[in-house]
Amino acid sequence: MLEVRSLSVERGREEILHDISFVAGAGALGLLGVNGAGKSTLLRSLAGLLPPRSGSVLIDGADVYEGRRRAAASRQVALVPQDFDFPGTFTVREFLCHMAWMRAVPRRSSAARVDAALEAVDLQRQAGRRLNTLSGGMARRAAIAQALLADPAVLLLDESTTGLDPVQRAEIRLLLRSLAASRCVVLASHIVEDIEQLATRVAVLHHGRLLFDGATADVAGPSGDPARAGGLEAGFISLIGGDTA
Amino acid sequence: MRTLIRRSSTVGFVPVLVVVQAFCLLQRGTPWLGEWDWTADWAGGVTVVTGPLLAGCTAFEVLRWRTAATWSLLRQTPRGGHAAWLCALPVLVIGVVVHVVATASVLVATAMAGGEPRIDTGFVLVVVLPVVALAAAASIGAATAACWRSLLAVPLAAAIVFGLTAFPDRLMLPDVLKVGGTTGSLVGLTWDSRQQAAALAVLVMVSVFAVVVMHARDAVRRGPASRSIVAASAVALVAAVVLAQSVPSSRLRPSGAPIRYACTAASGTTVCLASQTSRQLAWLAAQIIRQSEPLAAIGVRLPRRYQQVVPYRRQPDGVAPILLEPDSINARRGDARRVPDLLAMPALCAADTGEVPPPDEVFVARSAISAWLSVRNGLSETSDYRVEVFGEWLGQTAPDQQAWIRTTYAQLTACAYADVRLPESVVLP
Ligand SMILES: Nc1ncnc2c1ncn2[C@@H]1O[C@H](COP(=O)(O)OP(=O)(O)OP(=O)(O)O)[C@@H](O)[C@H]1O
Ligand SMILES: [Mg+2]
Repeated sequence: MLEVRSLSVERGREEILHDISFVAGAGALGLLGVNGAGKSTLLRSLAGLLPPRSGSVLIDGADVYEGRRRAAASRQVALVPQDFDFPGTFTVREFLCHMAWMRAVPRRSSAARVDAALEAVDLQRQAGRRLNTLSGGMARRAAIAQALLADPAVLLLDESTTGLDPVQRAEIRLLLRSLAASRCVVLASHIVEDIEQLATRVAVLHHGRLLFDGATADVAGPSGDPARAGGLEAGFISLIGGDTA
Repeated sequence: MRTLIRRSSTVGFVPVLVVVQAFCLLQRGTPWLGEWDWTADWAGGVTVVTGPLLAGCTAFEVLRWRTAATWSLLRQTPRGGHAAWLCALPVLVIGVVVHVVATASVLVATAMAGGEPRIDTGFVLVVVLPVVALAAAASIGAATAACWRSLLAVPLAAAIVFGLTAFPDRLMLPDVLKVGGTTGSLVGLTWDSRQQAAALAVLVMVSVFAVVVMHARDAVRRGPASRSIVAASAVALVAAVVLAQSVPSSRLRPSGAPIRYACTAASGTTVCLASQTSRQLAWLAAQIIRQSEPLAAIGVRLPRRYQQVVPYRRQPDGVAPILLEPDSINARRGDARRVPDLLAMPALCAADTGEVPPPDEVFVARSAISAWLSVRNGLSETSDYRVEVFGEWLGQTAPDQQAWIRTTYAQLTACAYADVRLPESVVLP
């Protein structure tokens, strides 16, 4: 379980995230926000890469930044970054083997975990190909595969569906849905449609503040609101007050 | 690890490393071939060039990883703390493998050429230090790239390592990063173990400091612990440098061990060369015996023993000196035309090595005898010496010419330099 308590994060001297709190269990949580809203910053902070100015991030009760259980907490979280540019001279399998080591997967089970991850993202046939010869969608799937290696409790996906064709998008959605069955998946995106189809719960981030946190169906406000007719997108736009900048 | 090495950007650079390594080893020919210690020392000197190169390669490879957005992904993992050195290590491994293969090749070549392998602490350090120097160079490259994520870190890292190796005096640093590259024979010399220990200490501390700085820069949170580790390693580095300043800056010192000689004896003449540099013994002994025949024929009393002069060692009395040319000391054959000079100096006397040089007559007398011998041995013509002061004398065939040679040779052998008189026809200018 992921628990965020009054999280404030600075980059440079500017505070980017202000006092964010939420709790997420198994299932998919959509993180919706316009460009620059702070989605990537939040995910990086959840992954243990950006120490907060104040507040804390807990995974199964262990703080990601403080205390003796820090290492155990970082083992439980895996990030799929927005940009995937791992050195392209590695083949998919080599990349996954390396990541398995980095993720401290025991040597005995490493090969099996790599095979399982390849199968999960349907990249078995591309296992011997170099990363720099993969299409954008395949590369994204490879990026997701590495996050699955250590079977994390919390999976953080940053714009994992952007730049994909509709077929690949549908495939990834299917994959994420199956992943979310047993773990907490946080999917950051500015593509409303993806979140609508995947997440039962949505958090709306705007100018570094959490504007909304609740069931996807409720974004547009209480039932009967006229905006709800337009679905999540209209609800989202009305929520941020039409301010898309 | 194997994958990391195979997929490293430096793999494409291996041919360049190999060519540079070979060029540096062979740029002055192979005067070291056949002499074990000199070969080992010379092979290590190549790091003056390969060190900066490796620093640049490391910086490039580290940048390739660090400038990727996925770098944060690696750092986020449980073993993220290893990411920093893990991307630099393959470059170092490649550099060390190229270096070790090159060093082993020249040592094997030397052993096959007759240089007898000699393994002691000094030798072990002289082959280990270049590897440590490469590690220091790679760490500097990695740290530079970690601190300055720009392609300019590549030439900067190379320049830092080159500056530290080639101009330590201008940076007021001890000359310890240069770990080899002696241009002359090591006969009679040995490595200064205090200097080697100081070099090892400084190189290790440079590597540790660079790695610590790199990790400190990566720390998600720079707490007092990481700051004190950086401070502690900086203090250790400064301490090692200060320690190194107090150690003699020369890498070599006269050897205290007894010199072993390889000798051959034939027709009552013994010829000895230091066994370390004895490759031309058979050739030289034959030349000495054959070329001294004209002297023997006119009744000159020749030395019974010829022995190589070793720096910092006293030549025993009654033993004729062999002074080998530095560039051909390990050649299988020397220059036959230089043998008459060797034969014209039957003793190394106090005056030859003292403050006051021997009288001019001694030099002219030696040259005249050498020329006479050279002409008798068919190595030159009388006319070659027309411009010399003894040119006219050489052309004479008077019987007193032979008498003069007999007398003078005896005086030279007895170190009676004050008694040496030139023939009447020879007038000093
Ligand atoms: N390294 C940084 N230093 C300073 N400010 C930064 C840094 N990275 C991001 N920011 C700022 O933080 C804010 C949030 O950026 P972030 O990347 O988290 O947004 P995002 O919601 O992921 O946007 P996008 O949809 O474009 O990916 C932006 O205003 C951005 O300018
Ligand atoms: Mg983003």
